[in-house]
Amino acid sequence: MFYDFAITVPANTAEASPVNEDLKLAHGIIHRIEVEFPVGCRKSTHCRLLHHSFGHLPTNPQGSFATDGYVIVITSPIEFYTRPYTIKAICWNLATDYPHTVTLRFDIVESKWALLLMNLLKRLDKLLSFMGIRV
Amino acid sequence: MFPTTPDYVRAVQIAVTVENIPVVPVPATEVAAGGAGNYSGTDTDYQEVVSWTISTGKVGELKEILIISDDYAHTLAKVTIGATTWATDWSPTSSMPIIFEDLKLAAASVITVEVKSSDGTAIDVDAIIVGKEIG
Repeated sequence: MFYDFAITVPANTAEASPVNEDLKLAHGIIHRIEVEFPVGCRKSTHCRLLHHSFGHLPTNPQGSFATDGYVIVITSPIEFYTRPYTIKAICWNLATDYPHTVTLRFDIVESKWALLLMNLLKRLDKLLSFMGIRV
Repeated sequence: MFPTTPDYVRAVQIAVTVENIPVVPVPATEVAAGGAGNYSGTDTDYQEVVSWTISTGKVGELKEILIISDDYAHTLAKVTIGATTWATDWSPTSSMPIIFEDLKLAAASVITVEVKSSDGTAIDVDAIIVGKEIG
């Protein structure tokens, strides 16, 4: 399942009073997150993601995503099995002239397929270890 | 905060510079600048007659400085342009304009005309700085 959210952050939105958006997703394994910043924002716009299953992204608590004309891609698989299936996006914009839109995309593998695949990989890993082959 | 552009608009800034000072050749954004001042007294230490500080974000063009005294023989003048002491302990023999044509100066540069009496004789001095600010 692929989700796409566009969050417009007004100019002069301070970090202390950010735009908070609840992004409603489905359970499963998030295996890809894209955070896109448009050309023109010049790293003035920042974004941070929160959910109890992974804490916060970026991992460092004071960090935030910010770039210009670039898509930040996170491919670390994240198990997303506990309610609420809502990620909070916290965004702020230090620009004084224009609002900027951050686009967030999530690719989620449905649970049963993810579980099957994970179990298969675990068993394969065990078999290879038994045969003396380290992966 | 530095300026940004609307989303997906890439800005390219081209500046015509004179010795690294950008010049914005748009007549609509020029404003009169400089000033006129007067000193009347007997002080033998330099006293400021007129001063011009170029506004933030502007390029200043110094055109002319004029010093007029009722007693040139006892008047000593000091002219400072930015970091340069252009003249000091100068006794003009008569009223004469100091023509700079279009000396371009960066924002926050200060142009100052100071005078003093050579021996405590009373002097009455007018000084005029003619310039403009662009940007």
